[in-house]
Amino acid sequence: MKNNVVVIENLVKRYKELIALDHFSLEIKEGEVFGLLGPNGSGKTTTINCLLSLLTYDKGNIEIFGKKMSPTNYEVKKNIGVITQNVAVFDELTVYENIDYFCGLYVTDKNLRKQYVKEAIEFVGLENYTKFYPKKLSGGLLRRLNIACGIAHKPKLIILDEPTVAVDPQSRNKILEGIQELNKQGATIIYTSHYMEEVEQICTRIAIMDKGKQIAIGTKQDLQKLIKNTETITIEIIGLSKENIDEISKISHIYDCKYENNRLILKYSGGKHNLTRILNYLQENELTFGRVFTELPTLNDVFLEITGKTLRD
Amino acid sequence: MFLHILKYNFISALRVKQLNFWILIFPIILGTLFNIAFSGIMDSEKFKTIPVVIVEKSENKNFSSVVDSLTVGDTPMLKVEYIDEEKALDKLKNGDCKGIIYVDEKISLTVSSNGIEQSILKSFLEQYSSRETIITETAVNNPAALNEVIAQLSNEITTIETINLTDGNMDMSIQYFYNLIAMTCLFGSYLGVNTIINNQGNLSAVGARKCISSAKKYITLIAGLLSAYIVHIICLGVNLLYLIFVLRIDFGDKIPQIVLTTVIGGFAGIAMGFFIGSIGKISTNAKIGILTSISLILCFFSGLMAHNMRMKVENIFPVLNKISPAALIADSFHSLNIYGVSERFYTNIITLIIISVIFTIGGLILTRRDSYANL
Repeated sequence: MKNNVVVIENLVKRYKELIALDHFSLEIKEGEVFGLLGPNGSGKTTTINCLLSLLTYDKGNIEIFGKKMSPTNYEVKKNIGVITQNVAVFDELTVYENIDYFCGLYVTDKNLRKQYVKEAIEFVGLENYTKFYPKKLSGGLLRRLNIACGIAHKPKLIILDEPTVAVDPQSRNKILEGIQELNKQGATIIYTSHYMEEVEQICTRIAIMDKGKQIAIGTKQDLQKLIKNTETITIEIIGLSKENIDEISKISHIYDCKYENNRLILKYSGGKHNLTRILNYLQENELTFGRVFTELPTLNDVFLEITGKTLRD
Repeated sequence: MFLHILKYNFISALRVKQLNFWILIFPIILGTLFNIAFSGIMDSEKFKTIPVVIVEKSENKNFSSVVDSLTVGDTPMLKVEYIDEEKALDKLKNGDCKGIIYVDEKISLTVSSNGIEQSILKSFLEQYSSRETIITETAVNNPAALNEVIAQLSNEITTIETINLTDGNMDMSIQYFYNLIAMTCLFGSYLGVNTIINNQGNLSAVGARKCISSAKKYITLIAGLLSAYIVHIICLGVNLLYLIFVLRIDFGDKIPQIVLTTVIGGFAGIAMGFFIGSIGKISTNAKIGILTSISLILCFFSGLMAHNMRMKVENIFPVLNKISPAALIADSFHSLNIYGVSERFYTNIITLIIISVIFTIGGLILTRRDSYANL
């Protein structure tokens, strides 16, 4: 059984009348890539900031590496790396100087720091930009610098707060691969993002937040089980009559049937051999059809059904 | 870790272009402009040798001796030419001389216009006439002492000795350069507030990154303050060197006191910015706005902008002059210029140190925390 790296118990944070975190609890185990999902204003960043003791909170308890987290718990802080939502670097320092500066806030040994900085630069692929000032870097390179500044000291717990915002697809892939690599090297990751596919791609466990509360937690498969939809089948078909649609709606396990723009969209709740059954019906009624698509519910479907909101609202 | 943070804060502060403009480039530009403006005024006020011609209708050895004594030295009072009347009138007409002195039984002066030089010539002849009797009597009664009497008389006529009540500088244009240094000291307040911004988690992203790091807050703050101070002192030093060696501003023998005031004033400027920046939960721009407003108001009341303002404040609200860093820095330089190294100067310096220490400690206390209720 792996140890808990982060334990949050009954966390309450108020901004005057607004309750940002409402008895929020969470446990994150060593070696996990933990995804924290939620719509804007759900409390993700507030949770991260409370976790880091950057924000005070009204009630609750936070433990990291088994020790109570506080602003002056420098031993715990030493093992935490943070990649903030806003790029946090000095415009007046070069890429190398920035990474060296922030690494130096954790690592005092000069030789060790030199090695760590070199490794961080290689890790994010900024070898050719070490003498560049941040203003001369593209958005993607700047994000990579931000990451290097957060991980150069080789922390055991890495918190990434929407690190891929405004990043091109190539840089995003590079960043995601990097996060998985850090996890392979032994770091526990907490990852918040607006991009559902990223969370699906890299996270081993996910919590969904809304209005400061945890509304679901588990692996992707666990979360998929929480919703009604288990499968969606889409068939390209021309000339489907109302009678056909009514009959199809009555096929077992179909709970939603739509026919729009010559596309039949069927949503299933449970059941086996759903595809065979619908294809049999079409053949029996001599209905000609084109391409057929079948897909399992995505995290986005889970999110939509649980929160009733789109993530990018 | 302290030295590491100090090193990078120093590099970073040196490279902030806007800050360096105000604490390094702007004072140099302003100093140069002051120098150009004041050197024109000083040149126009500088004494120039007066060209004069003498038409001797009869011989007057005593007068010639006095006149000859006034034609020697680095900047002699008179440049004399002995010519006939016709040529003399031509020269006067052409403006080649300022007057014609006719030496006859009576000594007379002819000028073609009114002016300072003409007034000096008139005054000289009046003084000579009033003392001529002494010279004549000395020549008759004690010829051996004649040269000494003539020399003394020449001195009385040509030299007006300036006697200062203090060892201060009577050149009032120097005060503008002192004010320039004082103002540059106060510009350090922007470095002070910048230190706060870069270390406060609720004011900047880098501040937040520092707060969540394992570096102790007071270490990052003190290293930030020290680096800001070093940068400020370097810039002030460059400004002073520029004034002294490039513009050749004559600060006399008060350079050590000027350096002392600059070093303490620079500290006060940074401490003031540091303290103002640490007050209140407001945005970065608002803090800079408040700092600028307070600095300008204090500069105004300290007399850095309006000459008599300090005295008015002294009459209405004297406490302000006792605690305002701007007033204390300005008055340190003012007292140095007017009264020389005095008790008032050292009182100002000690008060500045005390206020700077209070501001620094106050700022450290207000910003010591790593945790915020709002970000």
